[in-house]
Amino acid sequence: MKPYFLAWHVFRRELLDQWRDRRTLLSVIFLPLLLYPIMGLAMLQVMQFVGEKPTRVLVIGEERLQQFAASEQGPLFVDNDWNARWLNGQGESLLKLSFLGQVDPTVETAIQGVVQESDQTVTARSAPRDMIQALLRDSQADVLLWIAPACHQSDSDADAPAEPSKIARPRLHLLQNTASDQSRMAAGRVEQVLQSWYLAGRSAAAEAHPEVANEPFEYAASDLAPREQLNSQVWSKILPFILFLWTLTGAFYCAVDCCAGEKERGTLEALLVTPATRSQIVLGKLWTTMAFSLTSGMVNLVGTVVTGWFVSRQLGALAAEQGLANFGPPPLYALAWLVVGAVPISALFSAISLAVAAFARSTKEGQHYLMPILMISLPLLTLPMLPGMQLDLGISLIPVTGMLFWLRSLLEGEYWMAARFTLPVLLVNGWCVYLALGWAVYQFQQESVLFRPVERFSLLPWLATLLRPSGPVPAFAQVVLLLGVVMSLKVILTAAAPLPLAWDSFVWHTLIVLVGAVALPPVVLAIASTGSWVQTLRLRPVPWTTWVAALGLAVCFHPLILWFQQFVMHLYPMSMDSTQMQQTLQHIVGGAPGMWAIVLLMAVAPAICEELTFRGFVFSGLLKTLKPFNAILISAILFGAMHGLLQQSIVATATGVLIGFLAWRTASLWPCIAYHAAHNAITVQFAFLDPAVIAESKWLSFVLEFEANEQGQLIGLSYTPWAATFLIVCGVWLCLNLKPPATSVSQVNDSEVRFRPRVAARSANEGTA
Amino acid sequence: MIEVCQVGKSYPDGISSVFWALADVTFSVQPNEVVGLVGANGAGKTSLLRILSTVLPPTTGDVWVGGHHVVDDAAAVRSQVGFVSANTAVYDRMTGSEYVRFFGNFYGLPADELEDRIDELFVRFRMTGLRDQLCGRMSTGMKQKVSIARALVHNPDVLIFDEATLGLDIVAARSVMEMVMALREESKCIIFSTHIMSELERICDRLVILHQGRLVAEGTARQLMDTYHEASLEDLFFRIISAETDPVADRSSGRAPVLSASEATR
Repeated sequence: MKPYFLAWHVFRRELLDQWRDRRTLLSVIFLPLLLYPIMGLAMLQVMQFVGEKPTRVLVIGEERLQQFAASEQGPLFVDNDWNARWLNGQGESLLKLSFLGQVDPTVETAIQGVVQESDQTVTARSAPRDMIQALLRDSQADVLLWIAPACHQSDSDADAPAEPSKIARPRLHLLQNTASDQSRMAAGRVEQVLQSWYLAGRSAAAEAHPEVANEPFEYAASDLAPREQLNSQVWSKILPFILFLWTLTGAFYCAVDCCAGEKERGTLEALLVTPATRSQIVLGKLWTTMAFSLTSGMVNLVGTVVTGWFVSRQLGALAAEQGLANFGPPPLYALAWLVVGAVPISALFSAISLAVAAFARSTKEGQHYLMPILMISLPLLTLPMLPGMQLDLGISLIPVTGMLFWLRSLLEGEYWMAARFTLPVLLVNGWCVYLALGWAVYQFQQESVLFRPVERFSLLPWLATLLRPSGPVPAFAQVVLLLGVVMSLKVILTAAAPLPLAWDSFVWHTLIVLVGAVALPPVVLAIASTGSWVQTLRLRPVPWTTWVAALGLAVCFHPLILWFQQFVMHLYPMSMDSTQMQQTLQHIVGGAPGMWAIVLLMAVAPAICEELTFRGFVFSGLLKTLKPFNAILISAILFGAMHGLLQQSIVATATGVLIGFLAWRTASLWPCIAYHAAHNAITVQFAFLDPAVIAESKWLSFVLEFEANEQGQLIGLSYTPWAATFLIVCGVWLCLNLKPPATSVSQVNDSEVRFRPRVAARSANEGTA
Repeated sequence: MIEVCQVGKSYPDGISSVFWALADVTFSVQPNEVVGLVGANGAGKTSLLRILSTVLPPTTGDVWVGGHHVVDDAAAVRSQVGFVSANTAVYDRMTGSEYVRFFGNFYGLPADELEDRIDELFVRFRMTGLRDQLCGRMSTGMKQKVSIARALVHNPDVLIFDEATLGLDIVAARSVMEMVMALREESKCIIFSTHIMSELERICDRLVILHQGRLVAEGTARQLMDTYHEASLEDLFFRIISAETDPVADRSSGRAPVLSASEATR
């Protein structure tokens, strides 16, 4: 016998065991394959938040610049804005100015106070700093640029009035808050502009006023942040991250032991026979998991704080030498706020962990699920650590991230900001806990989850089973397969298709991606893997009245969707890159032969292709196993997720719910295509509407309100309140009168489905009687 | 006390087909009666007993325990049922008395009453030595005794034993059998599932024989042996399952034939 034979023998058995463990395979091999494209899409969404945002500069005393000999180098400000020459290609949009016209003398006194303090080590708040910080807050500005009263060559008294005999030199002072990322970023941008102006001033003054050429103007910067706030700023990013990470980890291991461990040990059955309901059992386990999660988080937090305090004390002198004066011991009050924030986030992580752990058959399997949860949570946890991010309504609505930002505001002493967003943060967190807990209870009610036997996995038979026609409509696994195929093909074909640089290439690109990645897979899979492709794709004919009703619904609910879209844009403004992309797209589409071509390509083609996938294959598959409401919601979320931008995804999900409702009530795909195409067509039409046409048309003026810029371009369009109300009421009436099929909507058979108003139906019945 | 009416239970098997573990099972158990549930591995015994204890809902048919429906009034059923499974799993880091007390608290017993009941059970079944012993350090037989005490803590009218002697040595198995026989004296309604024929002969008033998910014979041991002209229960069992086995079915796996979804709903 060869020496390694027995080792090889053991290796083969172990490999076979792992290979037949379907869930291990899924989490080790297939999940990463799915996870990274999903992570890529998520990163694209996250990048919108980290794109450069414009900063606002409050300027005080800009009139004092007029007295200086600025003609040689050019003015710093023109028409209440920066002189574009000094922006160095940063784009005007990144540096917004606001001028404080009437300067309160007390403000300038406060500024002078701060300037005088700047050389001293400030350890606590001071009245002038607080006043300037309040002024910046009220003006929504990030930094303050103060043009001080004139300083004269060889004049040491800064406050002395200017004398004509001497050459005046501007004095500029920048006040920033280094505890704020946004303020630091703004200060950097302002200094770039001032540097350009300075260099230009030096060359200009070299000939005219050689005596000032070395220093055309004086510049200094002061920090408004007291040392305490600087400390908080460093720790406010580190401590919540550590707390949340350990809260998640602690929750997960406890949940795995409570659920999968109990199943594995065989003690669960005795618990299920007691009078305790499944909800009560889950709640008890949730409290246990929360207790461990909180303990884990707090212990790690205390360890970090104590270590931070020790290290900062030991390295205090060194840090000062290295320019790391901001690094000090963490403030103790931070712990109190972190305890407050730890409870809701621990509840969320515990509920999610319980639901996931309940799904696992063994602790080994349960532990495999930790990595995907971490991979999904980490982007949400790291988002607040990115520079320039601040708590706003949009951020507060993001689970986990909103809570982190809220805690960060509390730690930085921004109590007013934290108070403003307490309600949305807690509501979102509470809603997520409710959903996760509901999911966990649902898992505990599933006998297939509680008493799942050992599964054997063989790849080829499994694939053969997936592709074998097994019923008239697809099974859940086949829906997952389709989504994987669509997602992969979309990535591949988007890269392979010609770049959309002009109308022709844009047409080819769109059609290749839509037909190849979105429309063909559901059709092929429906034919190959289901008993009835007509039933799977819900191609059941409907009467003309249903077509009309679907088109009517698209028109009637458009104000609602438009309002929602504007709300989403307000919450999550488009990044500059996305706006540029849209402008490029509009430019390309401008080369279309006519509006008919745009409507065909951007309204009808997506409607047919996307509906085949989402309200056809996916919806019929989901309806087989889920309740209609859940099937509508999940298909809508999947539909939204296929759109690239976050804003588009949210709006598409809302639209998907309406179309899903239509799909369920009519049991047919055709009304969905009609609705989708009509909705897209109206949206496209709105994008190209000429404000002059609206103004001239009495009918359009009655229905639409618009906002145009100075060049007469449309920058905002909405429905008038009366028109919107009327249309929405009509839409609701249409929905109520959309008659569901006589038999189960999940079975698309020959039952009559037609749109028939109730009044008309009643009259018909009375007539028959 | 227990009414099982045309009960069927199916589990998903692959993407589209279902596996019927039970089909059209009907029988009843009266108070003061011990009914033996007999069947080979995979006959559907555990599925049936899980349905009786409300852990699983039946796919078809109805079950009433103590006049309460197992699906519509599951909480009332659970308060009347004590369930002991073949799995002797107990909480390893709890002592015997802590374990029984933990489960007793689910039934809302007053603290004094619960303590008296725990004392009574530990004395009666001669396991006072297990009171303060960690379950993790007990032998399999000891664990099963504690499990039986757990199932009896709320003094249920109906007791369900699912292969309660499986894996126990002769001494432990005998001890468990004695406990069941003592409970029989208390006029409990007992369903005792096993495939050990000698146990059935000793304690059961009546037998229900399941094979491949179907009820194939029912009656007292004597009646069944007379009907099939067999001298022992073991021979009787072999005779019945040989006659009932579907030649198409996979005998080696002992599983019922897999029915397609359309066949199942037909």
